[in-house]
Amino acid sequence: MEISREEFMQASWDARLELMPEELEGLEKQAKNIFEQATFLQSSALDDVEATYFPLAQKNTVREDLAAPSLPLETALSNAPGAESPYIQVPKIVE
Amino acid sequence: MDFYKHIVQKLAGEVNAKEVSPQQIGEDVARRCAAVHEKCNAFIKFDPELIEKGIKDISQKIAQNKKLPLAGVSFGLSDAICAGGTTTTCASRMLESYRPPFEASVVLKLKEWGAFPAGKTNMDEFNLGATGKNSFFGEIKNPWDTEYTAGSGAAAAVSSRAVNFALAPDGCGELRHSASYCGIPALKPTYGRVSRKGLVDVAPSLDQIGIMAPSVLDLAAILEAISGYDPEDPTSFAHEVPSYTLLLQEKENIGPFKVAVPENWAEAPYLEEGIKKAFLETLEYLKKENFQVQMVSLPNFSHSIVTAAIIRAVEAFSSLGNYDGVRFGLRVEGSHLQEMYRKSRTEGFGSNLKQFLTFGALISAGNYYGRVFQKAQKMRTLIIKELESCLQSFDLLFIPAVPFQAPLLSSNDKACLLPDPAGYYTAAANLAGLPAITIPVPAESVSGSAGVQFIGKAFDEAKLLQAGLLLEKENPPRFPNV
Repeated sequence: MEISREEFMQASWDARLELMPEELEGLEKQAKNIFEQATFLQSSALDDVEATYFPLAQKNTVREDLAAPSLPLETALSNAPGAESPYIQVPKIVE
Repeated sequence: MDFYKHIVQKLAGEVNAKEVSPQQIGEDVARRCAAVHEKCNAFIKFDPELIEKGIKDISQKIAQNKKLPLAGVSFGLSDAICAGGTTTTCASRMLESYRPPFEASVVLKLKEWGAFPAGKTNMDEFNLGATGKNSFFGEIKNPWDTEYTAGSGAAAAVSSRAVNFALAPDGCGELRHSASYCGIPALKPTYGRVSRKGLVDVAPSLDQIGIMAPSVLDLAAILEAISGYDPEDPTSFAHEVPSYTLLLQEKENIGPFKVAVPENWAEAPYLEEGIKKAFLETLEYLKKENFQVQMVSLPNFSHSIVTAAIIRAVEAFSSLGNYDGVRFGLRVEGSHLQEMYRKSRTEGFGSNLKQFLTFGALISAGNYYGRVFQKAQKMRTLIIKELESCLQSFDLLFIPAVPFQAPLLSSNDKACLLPDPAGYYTAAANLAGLPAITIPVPAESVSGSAGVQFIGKAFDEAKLLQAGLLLEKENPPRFPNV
């Protein structure tokens, strides 16, 4: 499976990351490594198999529908890098 | 004072009987933690105030004559598990000053039982691997020989007997790898056996909180304390929690077990001769103990590490998507929001993690999603079916824990995430959500031991502990001088 440098750069954009050239090279090598070992994924034996997304089956894991206090505002803001209660500050979105 | 040598139940008994004061224990633990941190960089930062606070809480309860099942027992807590009164960094610059507004359910349970956290242990960033080289807070050295990795600070702290036990995550085997590197037992419970609330997980379908301890009896005692349904964790199961410690005392009911060994176990890349020899010798010992050992064909087992790496990368890309400098974590200012996200994440995450997340982004999208990720999820189904079918006819699966001994910190040849070669034998248990135990057996290695591993049926940790106890009887644990 050949992946172009442009595809890796698009993926880093999607991940909201900027990779240095040596990091891109490192990733290309690792991706090549794993795809060489992953040829079994192309086997037709997988065609009619259902995918598993979770290790053990669970159903309807909901809690009791009871009102409970939510996180206090000051606690919720305590880790925010920029906050002016009750808001979190971020750069302008709309000019 | 040798409290650190006591199994946890004995220590708790002494504290409850007021033969030993929590203050004495606190001073001893602080001294031992400071020493292992100095030697191995075992903690994110060594914080004696955390120990003092824990000791104060226990002292108050003991003064009120409360009987606490784990009174005075100290534990290391991987810095991917949230605790009150301190930071939870996941060994990442991104979360360097993050203080969680809640505590992990496992920590709350342990505190109720009288145990106290002695420190947040060092780890690879977001627990992606047990190389000991990818922490923002520096390398994690093996207490047996500091040229080698410990894999995790939790393993270093338990092996050095600075703490009575440690909790750490296991996503593809990191808990078991680092325990093997340092020569101590470790247990990854069934997925859903132990609450994951408060675990900063990277791959929600794989990650579980596990235990490292100096002995199997200690593993059993701690598992009993932390197991059980948690209404605040939707992935937790309401499955009865047996008394694991009592079950271990019923010696007449222990074994012999029917044990399966994958016939191609020796095909693992990087498998070292010392590990192979130790495994074969242990097999012979099991046969002498009347275990019925049989080679079985598990053709998809060898695909588990690649399958897990692909699934993990996609889940990590999703899970770590909310680290953007807005509500918490490192923020690097930008002229607009998108730039702020990108700069914060680029500077907040380490190099390996960034590459891993980019790979996850790649195979989450376009035609790679169907060709790679969905196919990996299908292979996951086959691996699970294979293991479940095998365990219908056998009690346990038996394999090595890691193909190699603790790597040199100066070496990069096994420091790969796609896939991580250390996970060859361990990833299958995470894919299937099955419990697994690692026990150290004698080997030519830096710690004088190698990890061997049993994988069991879901919620059958008792059998794992029983098998582990039998092995441990023949191979009493050894500990380095720190």
